[in-house]
Amino acid sequence: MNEKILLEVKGLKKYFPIKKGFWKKIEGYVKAVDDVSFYIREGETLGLVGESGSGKTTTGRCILRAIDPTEGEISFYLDDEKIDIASLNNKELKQIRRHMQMIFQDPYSSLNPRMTVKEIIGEPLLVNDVAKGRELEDRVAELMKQVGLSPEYMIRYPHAFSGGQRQRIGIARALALNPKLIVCDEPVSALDVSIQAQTLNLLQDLQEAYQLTYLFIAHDLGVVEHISDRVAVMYVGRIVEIAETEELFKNPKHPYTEALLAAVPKPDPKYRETSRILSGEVADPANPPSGCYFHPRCPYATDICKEKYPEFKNIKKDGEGHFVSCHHAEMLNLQGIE
Amino acid sequence: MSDNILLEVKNLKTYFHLDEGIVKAVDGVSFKIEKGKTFGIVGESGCGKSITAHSIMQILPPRGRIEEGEIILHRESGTVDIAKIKPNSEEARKIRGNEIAMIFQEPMTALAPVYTVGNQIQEAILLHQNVKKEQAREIAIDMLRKVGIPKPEERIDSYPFEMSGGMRQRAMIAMAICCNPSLLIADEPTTALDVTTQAQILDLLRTLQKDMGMATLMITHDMGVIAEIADDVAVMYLGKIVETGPVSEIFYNPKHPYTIALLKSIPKVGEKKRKRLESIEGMVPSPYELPTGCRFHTRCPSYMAGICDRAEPSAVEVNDGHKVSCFLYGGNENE
Ligand SMILES: Nc1ncnc2c1ncn2[C@@H]1O[C@H](COP(=O)(O)OP(=O)(O)O)[C@@H](O)[C@H]1O
Ligand SMILES: Nc1ncnc2c1ncn2[C@@H]1O[C@H](COP(=O)(O)OP(=O)(O)O)[C@@H](O)[C@H]1O
Ligand code: SF4
Ligand SMILES: [Mg+2]
Ligand SMILES: [Mg+2]
Repeated sequence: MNEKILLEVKGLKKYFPIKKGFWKKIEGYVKAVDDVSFYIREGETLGLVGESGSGKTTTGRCILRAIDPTEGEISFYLDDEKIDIASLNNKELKQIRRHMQMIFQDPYSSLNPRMTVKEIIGEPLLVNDVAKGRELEDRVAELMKQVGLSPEYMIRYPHAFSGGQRQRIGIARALALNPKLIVCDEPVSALDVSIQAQTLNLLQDLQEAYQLTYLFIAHDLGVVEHISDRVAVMYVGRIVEIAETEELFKNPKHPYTEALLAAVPKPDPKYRETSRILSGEVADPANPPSGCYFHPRCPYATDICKEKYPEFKNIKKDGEGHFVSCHHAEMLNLQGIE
Repeated sequence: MSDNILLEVKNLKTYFHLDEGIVKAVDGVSFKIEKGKTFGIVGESGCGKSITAHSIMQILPPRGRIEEGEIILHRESGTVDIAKIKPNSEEARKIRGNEIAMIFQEPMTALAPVYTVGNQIQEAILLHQNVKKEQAREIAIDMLRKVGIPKPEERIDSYPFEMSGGMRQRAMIAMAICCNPSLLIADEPTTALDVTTQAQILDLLRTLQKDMGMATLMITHDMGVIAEIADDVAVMYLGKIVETGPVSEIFYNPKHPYTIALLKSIPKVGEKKRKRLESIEGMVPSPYELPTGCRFHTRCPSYMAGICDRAEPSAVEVNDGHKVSCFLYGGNENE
């Protein structure tokens, strides 16, 4: 990792209109991503955790312009040139997309069942006029070897592969154009633990070999801790805390992060029944609570929490800082993981 | 000791006869569940956890059949071998839902979308208990309260789609326990849930179990869930139990190379980050091409050629109640 910032997101918002009735009148908005800001350094892995519906995938898709953000800045730094992703036209987007790729959660639905592995992995090379014919085949074979697949399976269709192998096909495809940034959207969530470990190791090896930068989306805190340099925690469309991984896990400053860490079932019976149970349910992003979105479930909430959304501020001046959005962050003594 | 046993599964074999060949989904599985305790079955997808549960419930899919073995249910009035009962007989129906109930990963497996939650719970109560309709409704409201659904008097008239995932899971649990079963089978009940909801549901299951004194068969792929809730554990691989014992033995004194590898391959929270995970080589073999000998030998770091690939290791007791099927511990001696 170096000091250079590769991606910077400022005030990102994505609101999905809720349409009702025959005339599709807009009745309100799902605030899927609501004023999110973060940066990722070159070669770094930023983990993005949060419960389902918190806006992780939508954040990833906005960054790649798979969907258009409602508001906000997305800056991508390529050879010291700042590219404003949010304002690119289609032609410019096509140019920049080769530098930013995505790996998906579901290795079953994300690969076209009617294409051979060679066509799937080779498609980005073909579309971008990078290689064709013999050269294309060689490049696909090389990519397959890099992800631990045997090139002789090139002419097979996805159904002939296991979940873990399909995930490798998806990774090979994402690597085809030598991207700088890969958004990994729950890439190991659907895999069995033994295959999950292989895949995580592969992602780490590839990162080292090609100086890849990852935005790693997951809901499994063990996985996120393992792979990330820094971690951002999302709750109802907002980032509530960002810090270096060790700092965040040992020394959480947001009550939601504390609750998440406490809720993970630890694979060690001695921690049984020690977790305090967070009550209530995740708020509806179309109709979030007043004040701090976490206040109805927060054991530390006071009056101000019901009234005012807490500012997202840095409370640790050294290192990468420690950003948190809680009125009482500096006063609370929260429990992390040893 | 045997007074405490509620369910005894002995050498259970459940196969699928398909055009492609025979799938030995469960292949000689034996374990005992004690009254009021939680027995956990853990293993990766396809190892036979669900089919073990479906065999006990007698709800196997069309091509599946119990080939061999016993499933002995101990009651005060005597014992019954579930494996010998016809799946759609009156007797099987009485056991299902009344004595043994099941909850699933996906609540909509158990809940019909077109009826209110209350309707469905009442139906279950009326089917198994001798009560009037109004009483059944009262019991149903009580059950919803018991599983932590707020305002149960109102929620009872909700349809499943009007509830959140966590609430639906609770409603399904209410339906399962409304007849006071002696055994609750929970097949990945928290796998589709977020961690904070998962913690709530596990806590609920624990509380209900204490209050009602029922035993639980907890099926999961997650070692964390096992550590959280199981008293005894069986680790399955390709249709077989490779290791079984008290939860502390499995976590602090694992013996089978598969159990050891499984525990090492989980990225645990609080563990030093960024070092490589110890992964298990290769993939789970196809059920149509089961390896000879020990089924794990193709991936085992301790594989001994000429031994592990020749015969199947039998279970050896290495500690009180802790059994391992592996030649490293003399799996060939007590044939
Ligand atoms: N295309 C869409 N149209 C409307 N709502 C959407 C769309 N995509 C996502 N959402 C909503 O946005 C919120 C965030 O979703 P998502 O980003 O998928 O969350 P996560 O990946 O954290 O589970 C959810 O409430 C979801 O229902
Ligand atoms: N309906 C079915 N028809 C054919 N094979 C099946 C069926 N259900 C399960 N199997 C096979 O039985 C084996 C065990 O499956 P299962 O018990 O569902 O695994 P688990 O619950 O551990 O993931 C697998 O090889 C699976 O493919
Ligand atoms: S701002 Fe208040 S309600 Fe929100 S997390 Fe902090 S203490 Fe809890
Ligand atoms: Mg998502
Ligand atoms: Mg299953």
